[in-house]
Amino acid sequence: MTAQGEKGGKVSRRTFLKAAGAGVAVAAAAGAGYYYMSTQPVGEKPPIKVGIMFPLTGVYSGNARKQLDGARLAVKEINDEGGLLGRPVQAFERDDELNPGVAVRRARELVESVGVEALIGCLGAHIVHVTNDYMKTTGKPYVASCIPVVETHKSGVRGPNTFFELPSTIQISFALADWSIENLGKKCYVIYADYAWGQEMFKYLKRRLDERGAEVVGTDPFPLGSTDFAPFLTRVLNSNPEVFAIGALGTDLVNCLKQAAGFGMKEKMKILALNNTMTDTLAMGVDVFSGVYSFLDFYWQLEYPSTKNMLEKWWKAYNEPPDTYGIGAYNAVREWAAAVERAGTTEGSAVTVELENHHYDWSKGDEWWRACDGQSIQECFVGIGKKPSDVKEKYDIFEIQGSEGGEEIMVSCSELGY
Amino acid sequence: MAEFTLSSLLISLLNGVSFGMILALVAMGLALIWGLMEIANFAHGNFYALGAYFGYSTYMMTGNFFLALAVGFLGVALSGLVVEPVLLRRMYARPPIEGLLLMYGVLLIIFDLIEMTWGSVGIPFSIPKELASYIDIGVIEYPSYRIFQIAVTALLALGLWLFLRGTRIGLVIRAGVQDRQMVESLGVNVNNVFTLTFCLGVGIAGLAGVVSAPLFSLYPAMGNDILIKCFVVVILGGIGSFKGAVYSGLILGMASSISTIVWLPLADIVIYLFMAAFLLLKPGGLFGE
Amino acid sequence: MATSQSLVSTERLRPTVSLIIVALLFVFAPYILPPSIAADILVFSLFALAFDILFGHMGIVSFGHAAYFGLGAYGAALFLTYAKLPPTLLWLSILAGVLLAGGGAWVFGFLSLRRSGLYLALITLAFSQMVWFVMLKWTDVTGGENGLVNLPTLVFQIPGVFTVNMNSPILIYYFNFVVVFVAMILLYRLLYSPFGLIIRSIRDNEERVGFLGYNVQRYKLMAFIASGLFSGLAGALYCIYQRFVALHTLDWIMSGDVVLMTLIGGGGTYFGPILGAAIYIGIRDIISFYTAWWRIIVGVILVIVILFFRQGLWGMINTLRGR
Repeated sequence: MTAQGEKGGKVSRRTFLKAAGAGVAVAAAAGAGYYYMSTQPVGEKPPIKVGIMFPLTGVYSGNARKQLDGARLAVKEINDEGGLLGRPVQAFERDDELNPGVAVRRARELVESVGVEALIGCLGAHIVHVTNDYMKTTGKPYVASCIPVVETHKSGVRGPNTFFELPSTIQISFALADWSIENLGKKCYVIYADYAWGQEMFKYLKRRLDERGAEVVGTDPFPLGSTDFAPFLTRVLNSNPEVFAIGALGTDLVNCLKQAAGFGMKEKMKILALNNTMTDTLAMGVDVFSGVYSFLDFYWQLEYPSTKNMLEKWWKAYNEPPDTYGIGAYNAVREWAAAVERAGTTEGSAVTVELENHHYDWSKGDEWWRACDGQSIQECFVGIGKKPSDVKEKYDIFEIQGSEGGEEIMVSCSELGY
Repeated sequence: MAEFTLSSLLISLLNGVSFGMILALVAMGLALIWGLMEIANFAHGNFYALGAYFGYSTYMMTGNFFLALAVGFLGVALSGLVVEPVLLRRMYARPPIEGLLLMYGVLLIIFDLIEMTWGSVGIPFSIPKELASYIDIGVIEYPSYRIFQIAVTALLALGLWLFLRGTRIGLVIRAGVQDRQMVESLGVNVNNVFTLTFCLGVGIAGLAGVVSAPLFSLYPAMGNDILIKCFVVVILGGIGSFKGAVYSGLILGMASSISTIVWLPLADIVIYLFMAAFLLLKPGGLFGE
Repeated sequence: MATSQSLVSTERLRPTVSLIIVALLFVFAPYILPPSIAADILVFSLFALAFDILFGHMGIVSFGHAAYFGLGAYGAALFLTYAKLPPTLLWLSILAGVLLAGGGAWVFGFLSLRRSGLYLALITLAFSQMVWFVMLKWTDVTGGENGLVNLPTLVFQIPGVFTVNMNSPILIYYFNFVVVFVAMILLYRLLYSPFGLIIRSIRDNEERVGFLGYNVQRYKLMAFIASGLFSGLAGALYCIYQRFVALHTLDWIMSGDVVLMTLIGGGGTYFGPILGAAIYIGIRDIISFYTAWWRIIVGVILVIVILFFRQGLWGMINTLRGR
């Protein structure tokens, strides 16, 4: 396919192409220029830049948007209260697309090009894992706002300035095991999604159940993305447990619960979802969760003064109650900023010193940062889904049944290698 | 590994048929398009997804599931009407690999269009109330929706088979699959036949999408997941072969179902091994030429 | 489509100059663009060039080339993680990655090349997916979805003369640049040697080349392996720069990406793949600051390129310049 036209045609096409090429080059330069301008400070005092990164597109985007809300609210409040160290805080938002390659790329760009003093965010254990690894090399604080896997906690893996705001798989599993033994029963059947998160939840759940005298009557891993739980459900029914624990998320969890309901399992045993949020339940269908127990990191009907405070603020800003991931991101930003203020500098190790062992209560009662591994020690709640007839208004979907918390539901520092 | 109780075995069997029929239905369209037009429709999975989303919106707006099915089929078939004449037609003279690459571009476009319209989060699709009960089959209670789905997909397959066997157009399509040039030289307007086949093929995939939505929920990447499986089905069954699509669809569906009780961590790798093996050794598939 | 003769004669006059310009662009890139984007363009240019050995010069579409990129990345990462060697010897990890990728290319290429066209593409896809699943499931060794992090940094040392610890992104970038530049020169010499001539002749008229007495299958396999080796090199360098490896280096999206880059930039030319890599990464990374919908943009560009500008951007530029 050659372009041998008449001489006239060839020249004009070449000229066109040159002009187009020049135009593209100019546009690209303009774009790059604009981009760099946007990262330069505005106003008189240079702002303190912070990076916030969540999977704003993809399967977790629902919860990620809540995280963005939380982070933005925190930044706004800080600035309204006079800024940080007398300077305004400027947040740079990024989408990690739930992809480790993208996450590191964006983190790099935030730290190296934009020049952020800290990175906050995440949703997805594998994302935290690689982001933590990168942030280690920068020396800047990284406050993760999602559930990490144990590997990321371990000595040598975790960066010295990395902190985890949401409870780890260990805390959740231990808390659920403890509470369930007290309140639901001692014979337990566990099914779990066969990948890192599910495997870990199961491992620590079983460990705690075994330690505390409960009986795991059966377990089954299922492939992620399963649509068909009937084979597992028939086996659960045959084992006749008191508690049926499900380590699944999203559509897996919905499918499983729907099918379990179909088999009449809600009446025959107590069903426990190993992870859940209000946001997810609303998206998946309140009726699916009625009568089902779930782990809840946070719920807007908690009785703490800070919760009521948070509820008011959040409602005003977003016209809905706050939820797990929004709170996680909010807490993370607030804690980082408060530590910076106390330290008098944004420098990584100084901020870390201020965070270690520090207690805080922004939203759900007392929480504190464990020094050895940066894990936030906090209460883990269990709620039961309300029957649709009991639901008084849109967000009134759970009833908190109890909680477990404190350092007892976390493994010791030495076990992690510290 | 778990116990093979009769009930769990029976359920797995039925689930295998259920999933297998869906695979077969989607693969049928793919097989026809591939056989007749020599285009490996890499965007086929996303037409399936598109149908599911069309059906979902229709159901949300009207509450009528049968209307949702119809819209799923028609909506996707109509979008095929846009894609085929405008884009695909120019590829017939070119090597088939270019058609694949073009459809990869279409895949990207449809994916983003779905995310733009319906968001990137998964949407659960409740089973319509009329169909959401359980049928007692002796040892087990089986969801009536699945029975409905198996019946509908079987009916559709039958309908397509009758269409291909009994109508003149069906005859032309089958002849074209066997020998396109011959059909052309017999004076048939090949363009129209191609357009019809494409729209029919993707339309069926869209319909399959609506039918399976209540079982599997909706999410933008749902097309990608079923795409590879359908490619394997068509390769195993034979490109252009209707019979092949049905048989290997069912086989793959059953295998997939059995693998949940006989837990093979390497189940997925086996699928690709089969795909490669067939491509290398028996590219005609089981029933193709 | 330019004939092989013109490729040898005319493209030879300009390339030294062009190569120097490209080299300079890469040298200054980290200061013009965000450094991580520059690093990506660098590595993916190499990947696209490697891919183009098959795509443009041999006329073979592989839809599973991520396998070699990923094997290179994983090979390097596994070596860095498990080989207990002093830091000064860690650069061998790059060799490990290259060899693993080359090995994979040998096996998969041997099998895949028994078919052609569409079937070949699908077979390569199947193989690539197999590698992906192995890396996914073999969690103990490969870290599964978490991948491998915490990779040690390379150290270059001439005892008594200097020690360079590659712990800063800029250092790693320039190290990568040197390696990529050398690889580019090697590739250039490969593609514009008699070997390259034979490859392109096979693309143009396979039968005839066979009649001339060449073992066509052997040349195809050699080209495949060469492509695999250089792809593996790109993967290993990517891993070194990123300091971690994860499954996205192996998925079919990565395979699709390199096809897109090469197509858009222009297959069969020397600078096409480099241009394509720059454009694609530019769109993906810069546009995604402004909108989440970069995929549809890429999809539309791909469709337009396939329909109307099959030779790609650089190919089009070449054609208009009368080559």
